[in-house]
Amino acid sequence: VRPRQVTSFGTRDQSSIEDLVQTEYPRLVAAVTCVTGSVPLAEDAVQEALARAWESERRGVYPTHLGAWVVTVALNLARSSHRRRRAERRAYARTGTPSVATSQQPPAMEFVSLVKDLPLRQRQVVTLHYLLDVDVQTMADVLGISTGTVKTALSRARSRLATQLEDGRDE
Amino acid sequence: MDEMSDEHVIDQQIRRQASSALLDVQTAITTEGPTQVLGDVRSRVHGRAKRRRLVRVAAVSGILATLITSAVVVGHDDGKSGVVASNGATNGSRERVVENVGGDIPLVPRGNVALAAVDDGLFLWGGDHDNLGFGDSDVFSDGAIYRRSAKRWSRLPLAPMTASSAKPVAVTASPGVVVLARGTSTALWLDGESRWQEASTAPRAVDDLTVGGRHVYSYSAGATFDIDSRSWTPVPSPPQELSRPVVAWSGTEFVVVGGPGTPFADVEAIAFDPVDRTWRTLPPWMHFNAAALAALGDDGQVVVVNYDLQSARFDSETNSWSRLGEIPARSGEWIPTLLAAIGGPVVVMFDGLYQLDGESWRVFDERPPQESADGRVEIPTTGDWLSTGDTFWRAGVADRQFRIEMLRTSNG
Repeated sequence: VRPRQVTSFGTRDQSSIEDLVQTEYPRLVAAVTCVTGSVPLAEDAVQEALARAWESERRGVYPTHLGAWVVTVALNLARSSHRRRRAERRAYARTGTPSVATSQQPPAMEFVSLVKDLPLRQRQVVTLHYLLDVDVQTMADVLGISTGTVKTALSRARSRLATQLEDGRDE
Repeated sequence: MDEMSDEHVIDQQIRRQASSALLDVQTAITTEGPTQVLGDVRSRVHGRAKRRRLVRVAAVSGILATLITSAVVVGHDDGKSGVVASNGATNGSRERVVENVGGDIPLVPRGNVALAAVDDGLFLWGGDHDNLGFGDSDVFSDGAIYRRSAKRWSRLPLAPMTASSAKPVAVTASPGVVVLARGTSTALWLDGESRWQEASTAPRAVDDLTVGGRHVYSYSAGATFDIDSRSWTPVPSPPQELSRPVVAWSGTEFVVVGGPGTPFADVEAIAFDPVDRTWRTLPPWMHFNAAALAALGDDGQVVVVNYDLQSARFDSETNSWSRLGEIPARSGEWIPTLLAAIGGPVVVMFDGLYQLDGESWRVFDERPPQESADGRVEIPTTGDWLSTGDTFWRAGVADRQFRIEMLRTSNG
């Protein structure tokens, strides 16, 4: 199953955030969950990223490639353990029960453990490229780096992941 | 050609794993609906806008309040630096002083440092800097000491520590002796002699260090450290493995409180006697969320808090738990960053300071040195914290500058 293209990339109009939430929100949360291993954390981080996009638009600054931008910001935010605890607490307060944890889904956990030790930039490009099918130019735009740097990060990530995949096979 | 083909195979493998993971998660989770999500996002945006407006208003009134209170209490301070505040309305004799002593620190700004108390000051070592969120982190293996009396920093000599990206931890094992660990590497800083001593490596990575009497214990390393022989000794396996453990010295035992591994399950507590080198399981207690706990031992008792604003006390003599009153923190202020005894009372810090008074908690200081939206203490919860005697230390980075704050409290 190939992930389908995030349709909101590159579009811009007054209701772009609403459109993104309407069409892509579960998918963006799922992508961030695949990296963080926590649904409440992913949901909290994506919502916070959306809020920041909203605030940015109010100041007249429109993030390009909104979906990729939101995921990138969310991954940055999700690095904080402080935010992790708060997100879990919010989820608990909202539902009264623990949120679905990815520990029940082995393929998801395999991916989480595969990418968890990658440096942030490599994690960003792996997420955008492999989970959301974002092209190199868009990643370069969103991350504010050159396409060459994106390719280097992807290549380094692949090398590290290849080693891990080989180690996994040996075990 | 082969290399390209290998890369293509790896690429396909990663893509398959990613697709499978994404499909798996999408099938399993239920996110909020679009209306609810947009409502939540709007609340965040509007809440922050409202808060900014309130802070602007509070800033004006706060400046006035600080001018008034400084005039009252500045005589207790050196009068030169820091922000002084007193809450005359509720605790007339109590005062708080915040001072940034990080200006002259001879180290590159960083986070995740190891902090420990030394005579008349602060020991700071290691840490990392994540290059503003991109790429690999820089890991540091240098440190410095701040002397309060001289009000100056001095660099530490090179420590006999091996390279590691693990977060360093440090603890004052006895006056003037700091145990420093990073990964399994361990060393002693002898402050009186201004020199390092090598120590044996720990059996496992050291994430925590707790001092009890002459004993130094690490739950993560599964061992005790002896400062005379400078060596680690493994302890027997605990009766159960606890996730997110917090450790406190009760006076006779190291009490370990943590979860059984699943979020939101009740916590469990076990205790290790460092003399007999035996474990016991503490009696069960009331429902208590496992995550985000802090614990503090004090005269045969251990106080534990969580982010449901619940707290409980374990009494070694009666071998029983009792529930304490709810912490009067604001809604949303649920993360206890530090639990410490400063100047006698037990204080828990969420975004503010709360003091245990008998069986109930009360606000420790209502008038903040930094203005908050609703007039309460507003303390940054980021950075690395240490409490020593009557002082909280916080090391953090702001505007790319190292900021080491001394937050002194006194009961006057």
